[in-house]
Amino acid sequence: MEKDVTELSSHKIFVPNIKSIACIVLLIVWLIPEGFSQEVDSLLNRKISFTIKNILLEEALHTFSEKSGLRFSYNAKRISTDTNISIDVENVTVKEVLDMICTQAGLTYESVEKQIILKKAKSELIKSQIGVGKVTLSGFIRDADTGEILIGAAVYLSELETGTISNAYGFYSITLPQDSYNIKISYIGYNELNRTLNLSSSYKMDIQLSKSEILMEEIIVIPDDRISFVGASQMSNMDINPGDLMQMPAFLGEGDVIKSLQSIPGIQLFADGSTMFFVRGGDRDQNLILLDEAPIYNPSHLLGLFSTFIPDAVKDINIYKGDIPASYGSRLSSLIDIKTNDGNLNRFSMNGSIGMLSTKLGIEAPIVREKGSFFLSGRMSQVGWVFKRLNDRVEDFYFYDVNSKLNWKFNDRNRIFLTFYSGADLYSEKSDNLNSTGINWKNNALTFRWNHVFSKKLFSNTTLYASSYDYALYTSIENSNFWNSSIANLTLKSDFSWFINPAMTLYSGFAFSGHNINPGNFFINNQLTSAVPYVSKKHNRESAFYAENDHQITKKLNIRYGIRLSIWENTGEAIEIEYNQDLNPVDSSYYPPGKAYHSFSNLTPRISLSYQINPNTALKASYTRTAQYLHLINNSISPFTTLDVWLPSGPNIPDQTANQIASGIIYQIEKTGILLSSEIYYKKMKNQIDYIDHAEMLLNPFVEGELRFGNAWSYGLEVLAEKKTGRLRGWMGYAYSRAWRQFPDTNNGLKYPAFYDRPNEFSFMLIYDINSRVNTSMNWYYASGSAITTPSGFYYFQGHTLPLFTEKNNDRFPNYHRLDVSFRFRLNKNPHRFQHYLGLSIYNLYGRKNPVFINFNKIETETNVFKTPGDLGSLPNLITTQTFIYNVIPSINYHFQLK
Amino acid sequence: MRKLIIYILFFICLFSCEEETDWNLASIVIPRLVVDGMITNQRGRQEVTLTLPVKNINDIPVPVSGAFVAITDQEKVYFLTEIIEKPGTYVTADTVQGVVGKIYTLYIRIAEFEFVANSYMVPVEPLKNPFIVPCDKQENFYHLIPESEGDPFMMFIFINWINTPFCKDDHSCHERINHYHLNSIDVNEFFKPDKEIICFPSGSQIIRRKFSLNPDHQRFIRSMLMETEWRGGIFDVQRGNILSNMSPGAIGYFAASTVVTDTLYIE
Repeated sequence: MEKDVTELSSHKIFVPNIKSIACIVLLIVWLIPEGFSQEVDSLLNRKISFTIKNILLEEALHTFSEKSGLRFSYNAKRISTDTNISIDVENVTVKEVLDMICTQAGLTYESVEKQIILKKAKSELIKSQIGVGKVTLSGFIRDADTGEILIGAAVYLSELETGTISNAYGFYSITLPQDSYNIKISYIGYNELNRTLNLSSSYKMDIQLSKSEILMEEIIVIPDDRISFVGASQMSNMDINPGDLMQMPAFLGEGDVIKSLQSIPGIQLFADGSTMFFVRGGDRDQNLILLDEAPIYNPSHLLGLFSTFIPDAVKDINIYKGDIPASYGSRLSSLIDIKTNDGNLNRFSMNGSIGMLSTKLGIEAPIVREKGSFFLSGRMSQVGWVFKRLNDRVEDFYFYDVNSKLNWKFNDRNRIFLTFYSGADLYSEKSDNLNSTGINWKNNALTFRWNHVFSKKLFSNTTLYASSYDYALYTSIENSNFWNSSIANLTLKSDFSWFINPAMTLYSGFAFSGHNINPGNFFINNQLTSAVPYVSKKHNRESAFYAENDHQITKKLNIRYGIRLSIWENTGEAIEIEYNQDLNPVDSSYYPPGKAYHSFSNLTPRISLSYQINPNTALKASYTRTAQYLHLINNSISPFTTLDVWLPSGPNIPDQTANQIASGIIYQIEKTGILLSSEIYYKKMKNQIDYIDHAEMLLNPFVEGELRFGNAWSYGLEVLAEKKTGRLRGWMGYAYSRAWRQFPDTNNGLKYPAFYDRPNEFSFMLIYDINSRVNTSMNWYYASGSAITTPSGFYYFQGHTLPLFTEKNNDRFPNYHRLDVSFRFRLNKNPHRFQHYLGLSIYNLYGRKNPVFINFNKIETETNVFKTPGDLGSLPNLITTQTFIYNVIPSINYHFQLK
Repeated sequence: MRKLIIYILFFICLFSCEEETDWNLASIVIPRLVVDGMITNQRGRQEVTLTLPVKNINDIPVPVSGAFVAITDQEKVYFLTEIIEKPGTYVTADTVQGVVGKIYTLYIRIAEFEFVANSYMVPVEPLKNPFIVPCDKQENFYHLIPESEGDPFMMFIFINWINTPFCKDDHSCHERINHYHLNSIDVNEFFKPDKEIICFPSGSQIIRRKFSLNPDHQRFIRSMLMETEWRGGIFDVQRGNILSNMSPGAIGYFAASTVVTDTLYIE
């Protein structure tokens, strides 16, 4: 049924069907009267009297043209001229008469130069799709060079002024009336592709886009992004190009996915040296970080100085600060959706780099060309080598990451992906008693995905994934004595995309998960010990069902609405503690394996609207409700990864919910590639967690009694200017935001600013291609200081100087700011397949000392070292100290690619 | 394990990290009575000191004089009198001795305000031999590594070398070290900041007083260490007010402990 389709023009070679072209593109043009010279606008405003009674459109237009002086142009194939028109008016403008004709005939018009172009109204087009003659255009969009699928590429049909974008698997589908269409396919960083198709039956068209060359001149090439701009109602969303990530200034030259989020308004990193971040007033555990669908619980290396993701292995980073699609759940505040490379389907390629911190190598190649490929990337630190020579007590000190992916296309309808990720940190040293002590944490994720195209309009992806996070603190490596906490999940999910018509796409799916949590127990000789209290493991089941509809109601109005139902069950084997009103433990209950003993369910609706004021401006609004059942229990104020303990919602920990409303405007400056957007939001979160003063978090079976629950709310204004193309690209952002918390048992029940309440935040990230071989980038970030608690007074007890606090988070760190710059040189002049680069970067160029800790309990020793006082015989002369992480840090790294 | 931190910070900071800073605290006068009191099983004067909080760090504490102070064990009442030479310090007669099994109540009245606290004592384990190790780069000087096992306890260690040839100035030849051993497990304790090492010469006299800690007292000590010796490492926890067993309006702690004492001389 696809043989009647003819592709008329494109960058590729096609055989045009002249007859079809002639038939389809037949334009009937009247040129009445001769010597037409007036501007259309002045003609439209001229007043006339006009009377016609029940005559055909074609004749009506002819008569009207003679009377008004307008010239008309339309596609006779597309517009039905057998509609009868009746008009009887006196002394009205030509425009009013034209509007009447169009209304009666179901047409719209636009003036182009000196002509009036008539088109079928959008509502008429949609109506026509309900009838006979529907066809579906579908397929995959890929990189022409590597065969990598392209996520979010736009397919635009200028005749209908509508289109679609490719999904996370590069699949697109659009159902249209039988007709001929000019189709534009565009994607940032790639050459736009134009094709003319005569669609008389459904057609599968796989598209390959070629990367645009590096520009020597400031020639703006703006992809036709009208689909994503106009059609999408998605808010609070940003896509980071991994290519730009590689060019951003980075600490020790290590491009970092998580650290790069800091420059996005509304996202705040905990502090220097941290991979923890906060989104729109949400806590650190309320961000869902997905690597090819599998959650990564602690994406950090070296305590948080680096994140676990290898930039070269990443294909797409999509960030949702709100308005999270219904297909995702389980976290309140944000979604960081990271997709890895699939592997080159056409030929062997590799990349690698050597930096001050680590060495990376990635290879990819087809297994069978155009059929299947693999990708394998690894990173290994070399810090251990340095430290072992600094101190012979160091036994091991390293981190590593391994990313691999295998994909296989069985046929046009079925494709599978297998992703594996493993990353770990280990530090160990010899201690005084001949044992070795150390810490070790690791993330593992395994994902199997099956893409299945049921039909040209129905696409599905089924995913089976497992991921885990494991943390161990060894007191004796030789004897296998260690404290260990862990969290793991196994999930099966299916997502369906039904491309009903160009105006409507329905997404639906389900997910079933099991979560196992060890909140932290002590093992001696690898056996759970009874020498310290046992903290019960937690087992949980989660089911989720969702449906979401993306509906283009009119040409200007798009609405996306959906709902997600999640059901959470606590199951045995577990011991649950019962607490009295004062949160003292009074009893405990044992539940055998598999027995469900407590549950939660939440219906979380979401809706977003987009109204296009004009081709370059759109208003957007959204409401999102989210729910969360997994919580990081940690009262640390350290930016570093500490001993993480996760606990589920259950009898003693309520589920968390959040409601967020947001509204914004987006404006595209024509022919510049600059996108301006601004959003305001208000978010309210229930059952947030805080802790009693000096809560006992480790090896405490009654840890739930140390928790306190309350509400949090945040609001803010975010402004962002983005330029994704051209020699100068990047973004600038500003955010004014507040984040408050209120707990009945904390701060005397009064509201207080959250640690991450940083009212003013400004950032820019700019990349400039100096020439085809050299580019430079610059990143500046400014934010108000975090809210912290400092003493309001002191008192003395048994020689100690003790602080006295009257208010929580009553003070602030100094304002934070930092400037980073980098240069990247391509070393070979005329690269073909092989390219290599030298990168130089200076992190914290002007050496700003941004404190991460303030302390009031130190003395300065004779050797100018700050310590807590040892002699308490007399009042010590305490001083205030600040600890900061980064000074000026220059770095150099070498990077190569074999394409 | 702290070496890990040192290495990482060395690596990333290029020799930066901690420095002295000026910090303007939003200090206020806090109307609280600070109580530091204890009754022990050692026959003698039992002592309670009363002071007021200070606004700024290193300010001299203001003693609270003229208070009515008493300790009861539900059978007897021991009245405390203020030492004229040490305002704010109240003592019992020198024949008072606490015992295990009784609940002791501290009663304080200042003007119309009354404050009470209860405590009880548990047995203390015998003292164990300490490790005495030479100090780096200081010949004939040593430092003491106290015991850290067994039941929770606190130990006050008084070191005096006034009568040795190493003493150049009488005022700087004696030190007091507070040492604590708890059975809690906290990240910030594990990664606590370095503590000043007190070195003393051979010939020094060391008096060790080891106090038992009941569970409530232990929680108080833990809370206090969270804001003192354990504060300033890289895994700090949220700040908070230190626990107290005093009734509202007062802070500090009234403890009841059994004590063992010994005296050592460093040869």
